[in-house]
Amino acid sequence: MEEIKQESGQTAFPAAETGSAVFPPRRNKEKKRKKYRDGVSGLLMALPPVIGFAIFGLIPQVVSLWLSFQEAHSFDFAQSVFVGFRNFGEILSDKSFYLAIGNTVFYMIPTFVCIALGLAIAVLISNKGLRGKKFFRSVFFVPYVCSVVATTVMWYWIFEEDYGILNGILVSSFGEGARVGWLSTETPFRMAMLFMLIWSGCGYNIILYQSAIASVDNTLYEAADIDGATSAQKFFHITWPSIMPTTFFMFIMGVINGLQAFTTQQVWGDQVGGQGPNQSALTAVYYIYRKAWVEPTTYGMGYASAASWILALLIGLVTVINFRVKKRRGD
Amino acid sequence: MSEQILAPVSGGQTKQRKKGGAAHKLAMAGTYLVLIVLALIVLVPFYLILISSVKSNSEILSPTFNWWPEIFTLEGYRDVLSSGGEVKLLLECNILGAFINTLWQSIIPTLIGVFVSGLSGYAIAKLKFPCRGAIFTFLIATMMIPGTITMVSSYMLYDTIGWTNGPLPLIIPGLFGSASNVFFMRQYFEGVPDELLDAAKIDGLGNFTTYLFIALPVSVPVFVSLSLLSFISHYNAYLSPLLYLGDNSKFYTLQIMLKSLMSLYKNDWNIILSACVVSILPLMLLYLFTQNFFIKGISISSGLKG
Repeated sequence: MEEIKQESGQTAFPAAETGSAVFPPRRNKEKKRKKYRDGVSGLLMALPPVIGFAIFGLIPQVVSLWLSFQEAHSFDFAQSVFVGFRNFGEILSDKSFYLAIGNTVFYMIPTFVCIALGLAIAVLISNKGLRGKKFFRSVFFVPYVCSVVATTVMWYWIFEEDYGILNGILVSSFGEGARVGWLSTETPFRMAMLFMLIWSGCGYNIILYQSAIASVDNTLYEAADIDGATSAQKFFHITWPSIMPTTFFMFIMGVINGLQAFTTQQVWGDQVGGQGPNQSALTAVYYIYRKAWVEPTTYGMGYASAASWILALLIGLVTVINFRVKKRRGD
Repeated sequence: MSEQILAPVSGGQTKQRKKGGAAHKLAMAGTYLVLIVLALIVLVPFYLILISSVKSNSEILSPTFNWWPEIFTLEGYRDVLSSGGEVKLLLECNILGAFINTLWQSIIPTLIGVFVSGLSGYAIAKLKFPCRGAIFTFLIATMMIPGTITMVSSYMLYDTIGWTNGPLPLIIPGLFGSASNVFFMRQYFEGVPDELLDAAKIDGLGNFTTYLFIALPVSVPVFVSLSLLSFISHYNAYLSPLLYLGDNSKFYTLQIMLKSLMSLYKNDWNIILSACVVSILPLMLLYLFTQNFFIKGISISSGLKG
């Protein structure tokens, strides 16, 4: 069967050829040449990002896999020694690795808070009668534009224990007993960090949700109005399902970015004993960074690479689960 | 932008509106109150650093907090901005130098990167060539791979070719474009009518020149939006400059500068806060003037399509 099909396909091809022979041969040739030229230039135009990724993404990945089975205490490849799965074994029996994973998950809480808060604020701003929409939207987006380092430094100073504003206000209104060790004690440190992350994370979601809400089909609301639906009903039956893809996008990006959290935790942690009180600033990427750049003689590059592969597997797993869930929900 | 109503009032509900006039007013007042409080929470910290950056350090360190400086002084700014100032003694550049470093280290990869991504997206959307589908699938697949997993091996590779302690690793990879921008540009170019491009080809333009003179000009808003997003992510980048610039403070970007100042001048908060203001201000101004492009860019990059 297959052969016959192919054969008939082949016979069809010369037929087309003879058909085109009706035209002057020069034109046919030109057409072919044009096709060829399109093919070459198309390929040339499309390839740079592929080449870029191959060089700067793929090669390091292969090297990283190789490196995770090596013991290497310097950036010199020649000085590395094959150690098999030892790095993986050591990481998996390192308590602070689990702590780092736990912290990473903990600092993802703001991601979810920001999805909820972002939606709530976007709904408020989308209110038709509201004036100053543009003003509010601009204001809420400002933290997203500002560099994470700058806002992290800013909040560090606000939470600073001896001279910081927050303690200044607390002490001047409630006396010395109200002073909080925002940076030196674990729980306040974590709370302060969460607050800062929520503060800086909502703006993006507000903008996204607002555009998503604005692009919901208006006729749906009109139909609902005719049926006498309440605004709560309209929200849960029209708005929420319509903006589901946006929510999913935020969720998946939030998780992927959350698993790679580093900057805020490093900027604060580095200032407070290296990893924050009780290592509460140690995230997974911070852990990898420390093993390779802060403690290379004890741990080194191989160890850090192995840790980054474990993190990559986790990210991959979470991403697959997310897409599975999404598929099952039938969105 | 067309706004969609959700809560209390909508056009067809005149009856309800009459009934709930007072309730509606109350709801609106509540909405304003909540939004204003939230806006204050966002803005007050900026006010605090701005106002403190013009205080003397002894006033910043004093236990009582003043909402307005007792003595207005630009000491902190002088230290971070002047060419021979205190900062220059410890680092090889002052904050203006860091600002200029940040600019060129962000603008070069942004402009070339977005241009190349657009070129690739255009080819995938509009030209027929072998492996087109495979290339596109490959690029999409790379978007799923988190970059941090290769940070150690990349560093070692760059170190082997002598690029560490310098800005090259921050710039060169960006010149090849990014998969996500290819994706967005492809999506955009698919919507550009073929007739427009065919007309250009009849006029004798090749594929590349068609992209340059026809496709690119019609997609300027998308380009601007994606460039802005790429620019701020380069401007605000922290981990890669932290690794690659190392101790070479001549090339420090604002973010790395800020972090170094924080460690170097532990209690000279007027210096740190002035630097903070200097690093935040340019982006805030940029944002104020290009807001709509930002919002468009965010919508594009989330798949909402402007």
